[in-house]
Amino acid sequence: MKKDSKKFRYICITGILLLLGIFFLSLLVPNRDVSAGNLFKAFLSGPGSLKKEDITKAARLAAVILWQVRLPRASAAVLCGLGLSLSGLLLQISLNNSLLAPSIIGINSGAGTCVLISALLFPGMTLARSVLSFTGAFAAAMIVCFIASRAGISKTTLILAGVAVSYLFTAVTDMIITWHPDSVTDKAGFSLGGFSSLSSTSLIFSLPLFAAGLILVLILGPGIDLFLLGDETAQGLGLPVARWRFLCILSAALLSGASVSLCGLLGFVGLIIPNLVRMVSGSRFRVNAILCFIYGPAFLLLCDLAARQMFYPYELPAGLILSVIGVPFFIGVLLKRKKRLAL
Amino acid sequence: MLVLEQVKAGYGGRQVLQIDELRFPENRISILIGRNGSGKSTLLKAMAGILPYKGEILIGEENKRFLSVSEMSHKKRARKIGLLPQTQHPVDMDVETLIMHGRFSRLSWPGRPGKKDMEAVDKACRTCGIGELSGRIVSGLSGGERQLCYLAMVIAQDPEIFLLDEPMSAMDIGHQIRIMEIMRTLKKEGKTIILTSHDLPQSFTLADRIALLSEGRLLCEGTPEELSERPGLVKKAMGAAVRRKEGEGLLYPYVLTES
Repeated sequence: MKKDSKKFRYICITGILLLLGIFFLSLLVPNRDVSAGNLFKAFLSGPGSLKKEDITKAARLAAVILWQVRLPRASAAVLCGLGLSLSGLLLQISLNNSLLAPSIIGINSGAGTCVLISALLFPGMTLARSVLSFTGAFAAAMIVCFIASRAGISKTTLILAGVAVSYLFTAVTDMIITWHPDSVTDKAGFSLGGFSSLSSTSLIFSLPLFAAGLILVLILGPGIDLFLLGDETAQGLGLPVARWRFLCILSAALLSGASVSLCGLLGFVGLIIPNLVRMVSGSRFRVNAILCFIYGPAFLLLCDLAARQMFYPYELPAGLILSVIGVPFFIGVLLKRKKRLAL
Repeated sequence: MLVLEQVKAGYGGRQVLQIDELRFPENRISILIGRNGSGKSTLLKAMAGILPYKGEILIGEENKRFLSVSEMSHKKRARKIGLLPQTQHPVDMDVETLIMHGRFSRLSWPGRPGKKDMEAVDKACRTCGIGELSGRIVSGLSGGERQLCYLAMVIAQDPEIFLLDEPMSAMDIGHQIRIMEIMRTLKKEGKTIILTSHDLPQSFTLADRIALLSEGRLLCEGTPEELSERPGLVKKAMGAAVRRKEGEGLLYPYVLTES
């Protein structure tokens, strides 16, 4: 147990340093339009540098880029990284299926469809976007659970139901985009996921959803591990299983809904990060949640940084980079694990 | 004491259990025996409050107020009744973490165990004799070792009543003997133990009282001595009778007979 605590502390400290490093890099990395020096001066001057009169044009541009573009974007990447990975972890443990993620079970697609509906019905209303995003996420989760409760809650049924619901909402999304191309400013970016069309207002309005989801996670945390023991054992230990599971799915929908309202249909994070942390640190929820908190944002920040810097001034959707980097990395971890188990 | 009155339970709208009246005395080992599908596990789950039922299942003591199992909160019920289901999952967690989960009903948010909880886990490990499994991962244990760990988890829960669903099935004789010794230890500590089994010699040896189930109904109940004098009834329920065999050093002083 002492060895495990030491390993956990080491992984946490490494992750925190990595996260902080990537966060500041994403704020301060120069490009051909803005130098590192001006960015650093703007950082040291604080947000007040935006209002300064006696600065050069280059310095003002650096201040605008840092405080009005990069900081909201990096903050959104942190929130979405932790939101999607925690959402995936909640679904995987409460439904006892490591192949579940908000993108697989249809939660992301449901949220995405409702984001487009809000753009059609309530254009420019950022609060409506956040609320409808959560509504779509929650509705998709409930449809999947309803189908599974009727057809049998096996791992296969859940995934099949999730895939079916995901396809349904994706089809509705594509129909909306086809009939109303103006409903989304960047179709590829929205479908693959990214932060290029992020606004500060949408970030602010998503905060209550993130807060509500995280508070629920804190409250539910002590009982979540009991799901791993099976429903009968968990009930025997005093866990109100049906109620806890419903609240876990609600929390996952809050976190995913908030994330989709910021970054579009960003998949992969919710599947891979929880599985990676569980491979490294076992199956304790508290431990895994803390690691998702650190490595989910770090991974998404890195992908977003690569997406906007690799081919500057052209920007790729962060979701594309996520898949290109993440898939080979995950396959490598799987093969390494299989080799270690075979020995 | 656990009292059942007019209890009916089933699955998917189909009734599989009907018990008019049954009492399990406190501080005794009671065993439910019956063939597969006779309703033993259904009865156990209803008593644990995890399967909906009609009728009354009450916990209490003589001359004191009885509490209904279905009306208790989940945590209160878990503090009174500990359930060991038939199937245990081979989870990827260490033995100590598994056993500590038994304290869930006694922990307040945020669920950090205190000194009392650590002592309960240590005591459970000593009772089950699994000190050598410390630090091992549950999924890497044998079936018998895993069963002992889950039993230790229920012991750490510190309930008044233990409900154990076939705790000795699919275990080697060494582990079976160990579990029987654990149950006798728990009884000495004042606990009430109710388990299911379809091993007649073992049940008749271990039990203070036996309840015979057949097709979801109570056929009869009594002490092993009383039931061994009713071989016809036992044979009807189980397909074989038992009789007591006298002799030195017998592990099971009851043997199976055809009649």
